[in-house]
Amino acid sequence: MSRRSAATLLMLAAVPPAARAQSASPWADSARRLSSELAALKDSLLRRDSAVIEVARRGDLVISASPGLQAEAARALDRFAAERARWFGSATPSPEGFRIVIRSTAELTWRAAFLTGAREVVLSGLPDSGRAPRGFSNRSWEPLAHPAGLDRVLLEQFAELLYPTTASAIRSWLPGAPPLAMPDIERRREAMRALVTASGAVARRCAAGELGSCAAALGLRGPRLHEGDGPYGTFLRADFLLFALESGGPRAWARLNDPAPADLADRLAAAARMPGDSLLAQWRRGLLSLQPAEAPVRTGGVLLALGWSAAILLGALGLSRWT
Amino acid sequence: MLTAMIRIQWKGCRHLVTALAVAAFGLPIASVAAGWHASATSLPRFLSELELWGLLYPGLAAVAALALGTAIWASDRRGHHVYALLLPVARWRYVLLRFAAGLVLLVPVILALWAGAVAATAAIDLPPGLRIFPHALTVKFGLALLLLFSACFAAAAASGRTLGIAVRLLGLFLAVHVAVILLRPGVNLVWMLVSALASWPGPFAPLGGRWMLIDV
Repeated sequence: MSRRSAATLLMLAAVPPAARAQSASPWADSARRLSSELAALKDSLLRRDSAVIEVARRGDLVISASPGLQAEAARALDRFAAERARWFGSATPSPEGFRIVIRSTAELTWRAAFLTGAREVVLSGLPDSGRAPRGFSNRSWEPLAHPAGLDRVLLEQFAELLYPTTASAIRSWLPGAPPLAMPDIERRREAMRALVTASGAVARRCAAGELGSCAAALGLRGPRLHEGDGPYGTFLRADFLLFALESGGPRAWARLNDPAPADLADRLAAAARMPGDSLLAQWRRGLLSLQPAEAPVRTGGVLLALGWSAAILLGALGLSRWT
Repeated sequence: MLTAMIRIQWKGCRHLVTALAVAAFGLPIASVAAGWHASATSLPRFLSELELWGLLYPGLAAVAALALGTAIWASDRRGHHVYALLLPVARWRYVLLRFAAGLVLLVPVILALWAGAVAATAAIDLPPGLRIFPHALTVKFGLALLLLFSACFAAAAASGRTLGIAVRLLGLFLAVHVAVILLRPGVNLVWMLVSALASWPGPFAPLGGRWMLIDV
């Protein structure tokens, strides 16, 4: 950050006199750019980012990290890039690219973390343009406790930045970003439980297989439902949105946010590249397939427990050779 | 002779059995009472919480098995098994009697869990989409208790020499594990062993799976 600012200052100083005769507009642009660079530099100094260095680049994504987090950050970028492509294709909150900074605020050797309990990691992301010096900053304890969770945190933060750029029809239907930090299997199981246990006439008809009721309960079609009809909450809507995005492949996000005017159901169907009813049917079928089919105890489990108990008892007979 | 053995063991373990039975009765009731709000919007959360409570069932089985398995052999260990060796019964028969009497002591704990599960599920007005499993959960708990009790019973019944060998073997295994971790960080022998024991058809596989009193 400081090198870039210094370079900018040098470039400004080295501008030949002829160029100074230019119109005011380029000068104003340069001044704005310099101002934002200085703001970013000040911000960086305030956050003590001097030890942060760039670790890896994947296309338009850049990741930087503090010492001790660099290997993990490089690995996280690969996983994050794959997950981002899965849900959002190549979309970024800023057309100039997206930079991620993972900064530790404590000594990260395992011994120090063990002794002091200080394991804080700050995730900071900013568009590469410098126009918005800090898009977000998140203090998370999770990455060090579960290193594999780092990419999940990144993905959630990325989604929170990107989601406000989506079509207004989508945002008015689902105001917040979908819960991408949650592992898929947990999210789907939670959604299945919400679908199966939803009360209200419309929601029960959806659980029974009536797709029109599913569309109404999700708020995709028909009049606005009363509480007694059991409209689905934002969690199921978010799961439906993610299902549509995943079904549609890498360009799904772009189709969802197509600039041409379209209503909510059409956008979701276009994102999934299938008719709206097929999307609803597949989503509902997929969730219901997660219902536990078997009882908590199966015959095989009973026999296994009895068999092992008998074997261990036989072992006890052999082990008890007291003298 | 079995009756006499049961009476002796009951005298020695009755406080323990009573405490475990109270815990077993209270666990399902507490798990349902803690999260039940009878509201459709909170049901998924209630089920997630119930799933976490479910971890306590194998935990309780482990505590009960460990406590009873060691308590049953406590008097014999104190007397260096002299009493057992003086009895005019074969050693294997004595061990079987101890085991059978121990199984009888497990019954109150299992029955208490069943009563608690039935009481907990009877008290709620079940919304559509949910099912209850008080009987299946009790069977699962009983099997887990039997399995863990057998393991603890076998360990407690072992002679001092056998236990010494087992401890040395365990120490050797841990030393090899540390050496392997240092040479090849990706290979975790302890984890491989635990996975083998806890997955089908390992001895502790019945402890896995769903421990849900109420589920979709």
